[in-house]
Amino acid sequence: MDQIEKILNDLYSLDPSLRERGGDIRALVVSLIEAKPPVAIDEAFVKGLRLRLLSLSSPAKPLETHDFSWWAFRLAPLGAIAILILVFLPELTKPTPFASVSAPEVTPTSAPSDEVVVSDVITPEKDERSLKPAVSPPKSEEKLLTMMSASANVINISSKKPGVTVSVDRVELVSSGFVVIRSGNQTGEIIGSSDLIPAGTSGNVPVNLSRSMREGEALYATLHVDDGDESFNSLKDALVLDSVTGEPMYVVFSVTASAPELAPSL
Amino acid sequence: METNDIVFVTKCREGDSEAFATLYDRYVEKIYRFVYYKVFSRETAEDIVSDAFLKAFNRISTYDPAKGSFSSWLYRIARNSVIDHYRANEEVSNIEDILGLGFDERLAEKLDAKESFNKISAYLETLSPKQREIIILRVWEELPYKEIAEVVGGSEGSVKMMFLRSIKEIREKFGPMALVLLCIMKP
Repeated sequence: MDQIEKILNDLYSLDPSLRERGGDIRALVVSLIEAKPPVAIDEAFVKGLRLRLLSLSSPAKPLETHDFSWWAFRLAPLGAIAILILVFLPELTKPTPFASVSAPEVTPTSAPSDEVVVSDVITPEKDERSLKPAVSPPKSEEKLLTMMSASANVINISSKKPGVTVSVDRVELVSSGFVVIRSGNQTGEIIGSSDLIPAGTSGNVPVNLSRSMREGEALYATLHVDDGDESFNSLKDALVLDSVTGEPMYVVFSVTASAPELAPSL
Repeated sequence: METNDIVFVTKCREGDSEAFATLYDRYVEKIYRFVYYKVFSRETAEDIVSDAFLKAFNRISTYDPAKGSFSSWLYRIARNSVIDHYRANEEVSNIEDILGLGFDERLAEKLDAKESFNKISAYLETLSPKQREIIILRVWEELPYKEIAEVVGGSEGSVKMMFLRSIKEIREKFGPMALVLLCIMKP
C-alpha cells in the first residue's frame, strides 16, 4: 500500500467522517509528501564517520575474570535480599476476603446484569433500570455523574472543563477495549479515543481529542471492544451494545468551565 | 525498526565494532535527514549526526529494548543532540521551534523545492512545534506512530490524535486553497 493510502487509512480509521470530504484531505496529504525537501548526503562524510567509529575502542568492554569477583562481592547481598523478598512476597500480597479485583463482581448482587450500577458518590435522579440517561444530563448542585452499565462494563464520567483532553473518571471492562468520545449523539463524529484499556478497573483514563471541547456542549462516551490488535479502529473494534435495546451503550456528559479539576481517585 | 537490530546491538555489547557499523549503515541516512529537516545546514547536520552516533556508540550498553525500538532510541539521541547543539551555541531562545522545522536560505538554490516548501511552511507555521514534528516524522520520515511516540514522548494514541488534529487544523485554515495551490504548483 503506498504512503498516501496508508496515511489516509490512518486518518479515516480515527475519524470516518473525513471520508466524506476525502478530496481535500487527499490533496493536503499529497502536497505535504511532495513538499519533502531533497536531502543530499555527502558520501565522504558517511564513510569518514564510519571509519572513525570503527577506529574507536569496542563499544562495550567484555567483563574480565577479575571483574567477576568484584561484581559477585557487591551483588551477593542484593541476591540474598531478593530471595527473602520472594519467600515472603506471597504472604505480603495475600488478598483480603473483601477485595474486588474484576469488573463483574462490583455490581450489586440483586441487580440483573443490565441494571445501572449505582455509584456511592452521587445517585443520578432517574429510574434505576434506565440504561440511557436523558439527553440533558441530570442537574445537581454538585458535580454531574452519569453512568451506564451493560454486562458489567461500567463507565463513570463527570462534567468536564473545556480542553483537548478528557479524563474518564472510572472504567470497568470485562475485556480490554477503548473509551471513545463522540459529538452530536452516541453514534456521532468521533473526536477522541483512549489507548487500550485492560480488562478490570481503570481510573482517570485520558482521552486526547481532535478538537477542543466547547463550553456548554454535550458529548457522548461509548465503549469499544478491542479486536486483538491493541489499536483502536472504529471499523473493526465493535461498539458495546445495550443487552436490552441492542443500541450502543453510551454516557452523556456536559462541558462546563465550572467542572471540577479531577475526579476522585479510585 | 529492522527486526534484527537487537541481534547487532547484542553483538555490539559483546565488543563487536563491526556490528555497530552495520547499524550505522542502516540508519545514517535516516538520522541525517531527520537532523537536516531541523537545521537545514549541511555542515551543522554533519556535526550533529557525528555527535549522535558517537553518543550511541558509547552508550549502546544503556539501550533497553523494553523501553522501545533501537530506531526510536537513535532518533531520540539525535533529537537531543540537536537541542544540545543549539543550547551550546545559544542561537535560539526557543528550542521547541527548532524541533518543529527550520528554514535555511540554502534551499533557495533549488527553486522547485523552495516553492513547494514555502507553501508547506505556510501550513506548518500554524501548528505547534510538536505538531510539526509529528507531521514531519509521519509524512517525510514515514515512521510508524508507535516509534514517533517513542521519539517525541507520549502515547501512540495521543500521537495519532495529534496528527489527526493537525491535519484538520490545516484543512480548516487553508481549506480549498490547498487544492488551488496544489494545482498552481504542478507544471
